[in-house]
Amino acid sequence: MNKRSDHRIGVPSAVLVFLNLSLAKFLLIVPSFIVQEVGNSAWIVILLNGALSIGVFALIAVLYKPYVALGLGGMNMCSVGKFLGGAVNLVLVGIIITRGALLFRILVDALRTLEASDSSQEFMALFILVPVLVCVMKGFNVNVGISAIIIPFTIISVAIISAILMPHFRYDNLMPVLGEGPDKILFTLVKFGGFSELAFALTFSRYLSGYKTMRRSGFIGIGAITLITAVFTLMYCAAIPYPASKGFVFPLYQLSRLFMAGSFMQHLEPLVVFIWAGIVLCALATVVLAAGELLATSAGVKDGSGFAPLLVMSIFLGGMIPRSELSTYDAYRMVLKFSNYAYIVIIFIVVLIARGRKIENKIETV
Amino acid sequence: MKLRDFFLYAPKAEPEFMLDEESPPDKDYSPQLSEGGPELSGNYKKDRAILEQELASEENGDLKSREFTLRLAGRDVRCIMYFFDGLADKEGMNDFILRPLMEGSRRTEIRSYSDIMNVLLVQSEVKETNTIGTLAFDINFGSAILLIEGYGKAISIDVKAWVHRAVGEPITERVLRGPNDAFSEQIRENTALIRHLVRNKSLISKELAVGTISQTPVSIMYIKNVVSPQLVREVERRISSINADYIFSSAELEQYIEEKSLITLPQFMTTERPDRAARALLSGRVVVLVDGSPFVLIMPTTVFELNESAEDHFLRTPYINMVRLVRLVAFLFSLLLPGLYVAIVGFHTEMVPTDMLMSIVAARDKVPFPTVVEIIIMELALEIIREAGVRVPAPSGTTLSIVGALILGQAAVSANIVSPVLIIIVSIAAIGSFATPNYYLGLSARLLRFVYIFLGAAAGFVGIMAGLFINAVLWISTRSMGVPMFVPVAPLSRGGVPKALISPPIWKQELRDDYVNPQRKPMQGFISRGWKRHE
Amino acid sequence: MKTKLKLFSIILAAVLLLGGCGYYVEVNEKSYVIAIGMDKGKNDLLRVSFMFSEPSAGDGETGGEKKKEKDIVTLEAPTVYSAIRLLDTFRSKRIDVSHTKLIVFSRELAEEGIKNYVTDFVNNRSFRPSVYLSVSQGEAEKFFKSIEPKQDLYIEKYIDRLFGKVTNNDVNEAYLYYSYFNYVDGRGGNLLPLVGVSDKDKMEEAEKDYEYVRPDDFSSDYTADEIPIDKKDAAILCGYAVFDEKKMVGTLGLMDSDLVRMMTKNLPNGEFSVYYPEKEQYVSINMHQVDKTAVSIKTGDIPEIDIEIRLMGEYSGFDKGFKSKAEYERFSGYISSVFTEKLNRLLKRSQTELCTDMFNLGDSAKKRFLTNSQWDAYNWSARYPTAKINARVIVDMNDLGELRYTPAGNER
Repeated sequence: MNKRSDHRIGVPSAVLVFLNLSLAKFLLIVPSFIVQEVGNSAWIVILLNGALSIGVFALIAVLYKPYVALGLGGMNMCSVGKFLGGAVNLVLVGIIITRGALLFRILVDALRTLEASDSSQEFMALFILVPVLVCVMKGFNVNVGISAIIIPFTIISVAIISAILMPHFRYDNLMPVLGEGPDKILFTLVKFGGFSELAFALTFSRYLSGYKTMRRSGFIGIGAITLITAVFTLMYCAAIPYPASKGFVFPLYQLSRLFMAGSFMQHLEPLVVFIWAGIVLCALATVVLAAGELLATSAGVKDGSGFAPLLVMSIFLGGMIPRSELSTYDAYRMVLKFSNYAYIVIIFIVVLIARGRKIENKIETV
Repeated sequence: MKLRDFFLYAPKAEPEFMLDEESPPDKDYSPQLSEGGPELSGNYKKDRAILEQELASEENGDLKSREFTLRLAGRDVRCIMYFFDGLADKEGMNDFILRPLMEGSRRTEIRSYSDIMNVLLVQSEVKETNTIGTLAFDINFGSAILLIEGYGKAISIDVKAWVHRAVGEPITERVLRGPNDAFSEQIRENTALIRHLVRNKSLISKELAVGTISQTPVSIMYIKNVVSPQLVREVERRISSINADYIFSSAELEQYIEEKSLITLPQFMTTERPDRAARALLSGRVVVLVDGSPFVLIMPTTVFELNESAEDHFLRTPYINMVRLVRLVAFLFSLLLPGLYVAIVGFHTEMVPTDMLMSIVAARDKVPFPTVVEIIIMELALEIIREAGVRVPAPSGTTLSIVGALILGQAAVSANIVSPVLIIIVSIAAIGSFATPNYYLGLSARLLRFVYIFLGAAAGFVGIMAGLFINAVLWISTRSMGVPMFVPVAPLSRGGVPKALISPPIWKQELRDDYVNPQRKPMQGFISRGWKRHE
Repeated sequence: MKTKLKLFSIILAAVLLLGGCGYYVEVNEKSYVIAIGMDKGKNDLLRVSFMFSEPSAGDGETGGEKKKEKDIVTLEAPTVYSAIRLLDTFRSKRIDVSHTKLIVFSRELAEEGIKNYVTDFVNNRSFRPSVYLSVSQGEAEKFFKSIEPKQDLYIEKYIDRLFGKVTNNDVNEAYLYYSYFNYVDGRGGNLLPLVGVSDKDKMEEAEKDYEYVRPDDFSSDYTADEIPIDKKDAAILCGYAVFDEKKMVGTLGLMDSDLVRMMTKNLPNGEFSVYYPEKEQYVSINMHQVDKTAVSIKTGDIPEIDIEIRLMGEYSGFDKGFKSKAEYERFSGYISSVFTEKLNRLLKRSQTELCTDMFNLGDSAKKRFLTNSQWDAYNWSARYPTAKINARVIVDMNDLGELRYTPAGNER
């Protein structure tokens, strides 16, 4: 993963890495979680979450500044020692892989239902795991490269979908503006809040060209994902009125089902498969790369690509654990709630220990 | 070691992914037969025998010799001239070697051996050597070798007159509004065509001989104060390290120096147009010419450049962008259309408008084969006809095209082997591959199409997306002389993305591409149209 | 390492492939349902009619007249899905409902409530969100049998065009998804197109009541099976079925459809005939809506609803013509008053007789509340029948092709 020919990446590529990790979750599933809690004011929750995350990230960035070149794994090892640091890395890997496994399973189920309900899950899994494995084996820079194609494609596609669906947006569907009430909004914010993907992205901080890049890309990334998700959620709430939107799991899919431009342009939602599969493949590849990076640092090896088959297999096996779609969905909600905080808390603790201990071998960063 | 150290983690001081600053060319790979070998002794008879043995005069029917005498310092001196019939210019030899030496030496008094070179031999390229290897090399290139009794060295005189094609028109890159001269098989003519366009002393043409037996001349051309020295070094390193008996064309050379031969994406651009080669040189690239091949290699290149055609430089901006979009669509159709068709009719029939679906169903009901088999039959038939078309003699060409059209079209549909919709799908895909400007890129679409057909039949759009993802990963990880082929999109390059996607007007193309790392970035002044300066 | 990786990939692929290949069905191995009709059957069962389109019909191969074949199968089953399951037993091709364009409920069924059926259809991803819903005055099966698309090549085209006219111009609720949204929201006001088969007896009965010469009496109006068409058993789409939160509560006729267009969507271009007493003849006017319908609501114990519709009209001319500006204005005023009265009557009917907010005026009231619980507590559906509604239709008439004033500003 850190092959000799790898370059440092700049702000645009770093933003892509962050979007890579977040878009799959925020575009595919999270709006439905939030709508189920607060109704048509879900977009307000997203905006508040973005504002909160900017504050949290600003604090993390300042604390993390001396360790940018080490990466998250390296910082863990430095601050609490080799073995304990390795254990912390393993815990983080566990969280990452669990989330990846559930995301993988959700996609498999969704694709099966969309396409061919008689196919087995293992068969569909093949078409997800093999591309992920190939991407991971090629290294981090190739992953950034493919994100540079898929992420803009996704954003443009969602923009086109929104433009086509404009006749279906009703201002009335957004009323009452506070939905289920301000208390629910705050409660949901607390439940689902935080951009834990930011923490994952810190794993790759040693590929960045410096602290300024990390800061700038973090703020831009949070701003971008907040804007995209808020606009998307707003569209979803405007197109599908509240009590009905509670019953739908995949907002993008439901919105795409509303294409009704004459008898020719109807039922085009299978095209959404390209968007879904694209961003989930990118996200899974980045998840495996992040986990591999942490494991490589813990094991003291140069290249984490040796762990890729093991991690991919873990994602597959983990994803096959839930019995049904519904249990996968519930499990994902639960894991999201827990891991959003777990990740941030762990990083905070570790970085405070590192700062407190005034770690030697600090590397000067730009 | 202290116990504490056992638990401490010591990170590496420097990150491990530094670019190599220098990659010095390795010049010791191929033995250079042109340097070295036995030397002449100075004894006329002995040297004749050695030379005749070296050149296999008994076996070589086209090796000719002419023995004669010249008058030197008042005495007759024996000489012998060797040449290959067909390579050397006979009239040139008669007029500029034999006549001056035989007659001229008797008319003009020459006193020393040096007078032969300075007074009698009027040829432009003359050199003396005593190395058999050099002599053998030169005679194989069309020089005449002159052995003079008493003179320790032989003289190699350039009298090349190879049989070759004149400069003609390009076969694959014709344009409406630009020049229509093309490279030929002669390397010297080709370098001259480029020099004619780039009349600058910084244009360098470095000569190498590749192939241990064939000794094929290869020229590496670049502009000294524009190109990145690392790039030139890398090109030279790769070419000079080829250890093979022969290379006869740029296509073979390309396969030796590209990074990944098993991938369908071509990693260098090829062109038969001198203007395209000159443009590439001026944008900071290296051009490699191979003797015997009318196609030259341009490196490095990117996928976006492979989508450009020669005509782009002669069209105005709105047309270029429209045409590029059409080409991109054609390429995507060529690659994906059959696979998408299989996926839609097999897994996503809800996407098809109901009327169209009913006519497809009505047409398909009579066909006994599954859609995948239908498509494979049609594609194979098309490929067979295409291959046959390459080799068919001209008189039969028209007949065969009619037969092909009849087989693929009317007869197959009437016999209910394929459905009519499929004919359209396969035809559009086939035409799309021809609309791709780069021949090899079109070939890659032809090959990968089958993969997408199988993926579409296996898992619909998911299979196609998985295939596209893997395809993109493999192509993104491919490099052309160290430059990733999807730059400036993947990885992102400063300012390059808009330029790759949309071609700006020529007066806006101020900077050279960042990823070739040129020494001189600006190609134009900030205001390149001086007449606009005061507006 | 690379060899191990390749081996691993091959093993992974082989294992996963053994899990079962993709489910690939050829397009001609499926039978496509175009329309579903639901009637009440015996013993609390549903009588479900499926209309299929035969692909061989109208495929262009035969010259001369094309046959428009219909394939209608009727079954009795507890639910639609069990009916589909039964269909599978005797049809050679798999049943595919992804191209279903129309679902028709019989009036009998509609009056019991169709919410469960709509929810069932929505939960099945095969059904398009844009499936048209409709209510048949008689039996849905009879309506299907009476469909004879003379001008259209395929039945699905006929259905698309016929129902597309209604839904694109009038109401979105005719789409499956929008109907479902209304039901889940717990609000009424679903307006579904009304279809029927021409019935001579009903027609004659209706003609006795309906009097063209007394356009101010709207006590009765044509519905689907009353249209005076000189053809037996013709399939007709005319009027609307009105639903509250649970079931069908009434119908709207032909004349009311024009008002529905004005209230729900912009009236694009409507032709109307109005009797003008001053000239003692019918006047044909072409009207379109200038702006969206303006609805303003004051929420309180008794909601106050103000509705304003602005129309621009052109009269197609009659032999006497208008001679002065005053005449124009009187005519405009008369047209405005006619439509204002019609609209107020319709709204009154929705409050008193139908007791349902069929134009979803409550949507405009929602923005006055901050939270869903406040809105739920206000209980709009209970307050609507007692609301004060003041509706106005303002018609501005243009004279076709003639100047109303001279360029100098004088009257013509």
